[in-house]
Amino acid sequence: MQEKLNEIRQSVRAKLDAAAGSASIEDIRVSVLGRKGELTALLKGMGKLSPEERPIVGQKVNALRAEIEGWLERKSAELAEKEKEQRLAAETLDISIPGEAVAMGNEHPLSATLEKIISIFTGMGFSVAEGPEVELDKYNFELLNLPKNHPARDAQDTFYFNENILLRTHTSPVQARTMLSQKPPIRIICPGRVYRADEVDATHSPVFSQCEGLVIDEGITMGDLKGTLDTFARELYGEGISTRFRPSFFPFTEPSAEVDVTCAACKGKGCRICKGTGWIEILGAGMVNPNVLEMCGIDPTKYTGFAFGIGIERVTNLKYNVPDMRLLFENDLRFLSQFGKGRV
Amino acid sequence: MLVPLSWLKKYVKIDIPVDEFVRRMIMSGTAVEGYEDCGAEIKNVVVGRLTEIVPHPNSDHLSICQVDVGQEAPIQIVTGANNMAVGDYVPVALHDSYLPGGVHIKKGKLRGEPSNGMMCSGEELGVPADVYPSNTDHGLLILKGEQIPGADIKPVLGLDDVIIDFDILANRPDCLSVLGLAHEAAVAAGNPVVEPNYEYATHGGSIDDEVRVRVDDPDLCKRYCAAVIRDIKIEPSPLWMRQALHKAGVRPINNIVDITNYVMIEMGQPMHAFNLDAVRGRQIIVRRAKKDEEMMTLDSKDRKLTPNMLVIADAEGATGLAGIMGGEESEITESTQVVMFESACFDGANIRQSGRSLGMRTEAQGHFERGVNVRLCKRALQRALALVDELGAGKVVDGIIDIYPNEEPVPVVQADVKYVQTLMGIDVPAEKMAKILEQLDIKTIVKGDQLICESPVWRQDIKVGADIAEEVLRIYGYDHIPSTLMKGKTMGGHNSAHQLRDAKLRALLCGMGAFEAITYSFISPKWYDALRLCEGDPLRLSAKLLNPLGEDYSVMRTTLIPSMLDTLSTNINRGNAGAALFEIGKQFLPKSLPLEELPEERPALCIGLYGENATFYTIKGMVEALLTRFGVRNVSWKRSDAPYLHPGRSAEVYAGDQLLGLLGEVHPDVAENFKFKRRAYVAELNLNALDACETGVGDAKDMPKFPAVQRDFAFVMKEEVPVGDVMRIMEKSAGALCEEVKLFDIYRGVPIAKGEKSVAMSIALRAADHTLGEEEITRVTDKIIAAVSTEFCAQLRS
Repeated sequence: MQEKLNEIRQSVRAKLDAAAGSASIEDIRVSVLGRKGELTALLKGMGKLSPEERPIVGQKVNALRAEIEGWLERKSAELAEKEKEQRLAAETLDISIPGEAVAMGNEHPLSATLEKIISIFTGMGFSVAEGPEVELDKYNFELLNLPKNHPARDAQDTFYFNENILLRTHTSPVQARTMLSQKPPIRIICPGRVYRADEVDATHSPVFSQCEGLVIDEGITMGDLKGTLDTFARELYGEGISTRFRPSFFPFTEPSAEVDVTCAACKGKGCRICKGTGWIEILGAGMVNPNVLEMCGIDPTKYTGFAFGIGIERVTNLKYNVPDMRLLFENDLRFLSQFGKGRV
Repeated sequence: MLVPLSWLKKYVKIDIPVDEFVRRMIMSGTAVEGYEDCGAEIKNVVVGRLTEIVPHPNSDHLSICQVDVGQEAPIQIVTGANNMAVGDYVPVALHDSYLPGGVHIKKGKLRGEPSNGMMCSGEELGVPADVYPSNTDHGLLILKGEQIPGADIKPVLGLDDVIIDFDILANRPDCLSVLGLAHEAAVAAGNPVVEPNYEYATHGGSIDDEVRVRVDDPDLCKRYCAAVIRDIKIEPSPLWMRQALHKAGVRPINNIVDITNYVMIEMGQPMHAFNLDAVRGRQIIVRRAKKDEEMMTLDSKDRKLTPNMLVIADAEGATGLAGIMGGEESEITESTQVVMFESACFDGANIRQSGRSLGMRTEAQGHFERGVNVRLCKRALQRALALVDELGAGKVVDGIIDIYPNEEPVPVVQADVKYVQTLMGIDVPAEKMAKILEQLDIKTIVKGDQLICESPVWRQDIKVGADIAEEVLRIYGYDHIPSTLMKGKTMGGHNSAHQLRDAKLRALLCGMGAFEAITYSFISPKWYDALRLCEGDPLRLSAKLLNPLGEDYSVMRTTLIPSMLDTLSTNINRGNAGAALFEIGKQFLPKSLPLEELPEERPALCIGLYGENATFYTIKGMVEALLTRFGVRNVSWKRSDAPYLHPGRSAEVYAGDQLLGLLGEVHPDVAENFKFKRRAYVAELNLNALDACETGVGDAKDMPKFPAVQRDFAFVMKEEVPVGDVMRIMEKSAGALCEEVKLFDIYRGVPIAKGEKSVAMSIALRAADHTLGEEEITRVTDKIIAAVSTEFCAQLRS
């Protein structure tokens, strides 16, 4: 009996060593452990043994069965692994072939800049306010301390529909409308398209966009304006950027300032872009003129506030070094698609 | 405003380098565009004295000159000029010298004779004939008076100067004058202002015997001052005055006219000089023009006047446009003998209107528009008379006429110290503020917590406490403003619904491969023709600009489609193979025309595309995807009759009854009108309507517990049967069990008869609470087949 078992053991071992595919493993399994298999036959023949022999032989047969099952399992796993490796090797692709094109568009650079600016200011507690682009003279000029025939109107060449209706020259009328309809504290930004009768050239466009801001509350100072704009500049251009205020004049603010930011290209060292000064002028700002507050129904002895106006085209052109304003409005795909190639 | 530094230095000592001076001016509130050293290009050019002139032996037009240039011996120079004589002083460019324009002069030989430099004309040194009346175009510049041979030529010609281009802010008309700027420069340089001379001698007589002045419209003429000068001697003004005017950008003319211009630049007061003999009746009347009154201005142009224009009239009619330009009749000429100087304060807004309606723009007008100081009219007149005296241009008659009915006091402003400190964000002590204000000649008294401030006579802009804050701050230094964060209530900032919607649209469309475009809001009305819109089409009702940049930008668009077609055209014609573009913008829809109230501004989305694989269904798919993402329900499509779209390939899209927009293939004629020849597709959606139809996602549903079954059908039907309708009937027939109906193929050709198509669709059926049995499924599919067959005369393909 022992001999028989040894014989089966050796023959299975030999067959397994020679086996080359998972199919032949199954054949081996059937020939030994199947219903008509050699080991099964041995078990079936156990009835002929004496009761004393039976458990001993049974044990031996079962031990061999377990051993063979282990072999089969290992061998089939080994073969499956081998077959998988072969398949993977056969599936090798030319990875240098370009991937399938996925159609991807992108935002206009002006939208991208504006969205960035909006997110910076909403993060500081400003809310977005909007208003019409075709505006009344009253909101665009008069309530902002620019009465009819005021010479400062010259600085903003205006498109008119008639004496009282015009295309807004800035988004400040939204500030006026907000002050008239809302009680302080006010903290808004007003993004949108604005219009000035400038001939089209490399640095001018009759249609452009702005984002203005307005804060009115008790005890608002010019320091708060500087703090707000410093934060904005850092968020937009990165750490190490600050602002510089220069005295200026706007009819709706007093005191007023032109605001420069550290040139992001050279970090203030001076380069071609900032003409060696280390600073780039990007916006105008100031403390809301008490006359404006009064005209808009806000008590100037109780409240102070600041306002600022950012030119989106200017920020965009400086950020991406756009050489000619006209490119922004031609919408040539070869220009537009550049802004889909990286973080904007 | 161009100001020669030398002129500024007449009133204030500036002993710091120019760049530092300019920096201090900018940081204290006087903007500077730039500055230029006028003699920067000239090097090694000196005064020479001609000691000998002999003809050139080998030339009939050259001369050989010996010139004393301050060296041991005269140097020899060959010249082609012939306007010089022995003893004349001329500019000499020595060996290795430079002239304007980078011209390099070296010694050499001219027809065999050595020449050690060049004698220069005015032109070669950039000195115009206006400044040197003796200077002819081609001859040498003969210097007047005694000169020192060998001396640097630049101081002699006034070229050792720097011209600063100041950018004067609208609130500081006082700085539109050298004297006004001198007050700012005084603070920047830390030195006091020395006023010019206002004293002059008079020569008897009485002005009242010379001229009578009447102001009929004091609302437009706050003050009128006049003086008369007899025995006028018209001649060129002195060199210093001509040089100063030239450098400030004004052409010297003669002594009287130059004095008026000089005073305007010096003090900011426009002056006018009348030839009093040409003033009829020797009477000046300041009044509004009469209806249809006409006059000829100094520029020899006939001007038709309207009754809202202010004129200076004599006994018979208008002889000058107040504050804008004098009349030709009373112009100063060589033979003028009696002159009246006018120094007045006219209403800026009125001058501005008159100038605009006459299409005129003069220096004087600019001053009046920005605000001439009524308190300084008389002083400016006195200054002009002092100059007449100094130049010996005539004899001043006793007396000044000064019509000033409502004298304006110097404004006094009271400012709360704490308020000023709050505005600045810096707690500058009151005493320190007072000190700063005194530097600006603003007399200040500190009274408790108040500052009482009296402006100097030349300032007109200090009216409220905020102005005081600015004055203090600009001198204290904007650099000292701290960077603080707002205190008070914190506020939750939020974006607007519009911005969020637009951002969502952008993200979706970019994900579909479209690029965002931005175009102008005003368009050419010709584009409406190009769209084939009929005469009465409501899209043609657009608001028209009074002063557009040109017809191409003259009306506010009522649709974004033409701008998109133009953008597509640009891309097609520049060879871009395909493009998907979109724009989010406004349609401007007037409620009435001409505009009486603000138009409706309706936000719209426009999509445009072309390219190899672009079809009607591409753009429809994009729109459908957007509608799905916005949760728009009950979407239906109808054929569109928009004239700019292909009649068979265009559709309107509705949500229930609400029209959302339209889309389709561009009509070939319209494509041609926009200068392209390929098929292109556009869509335009009303975003207000989209907002109105937007719905939320709703409650999340549990995952289905029972399997779905899918059944495929192919129906043969007439070509004209709309597949969408078939799909809807299938959906309806399946009722609650219908999960999704999908189209997967439309087949035409053998064995399908001509004029028919085979449409293959699949339907997914599922019940929420059990697995569908075969019997149940068959019941539904039979119902579908029956409905489609009867409704559309379709046959199920086996």
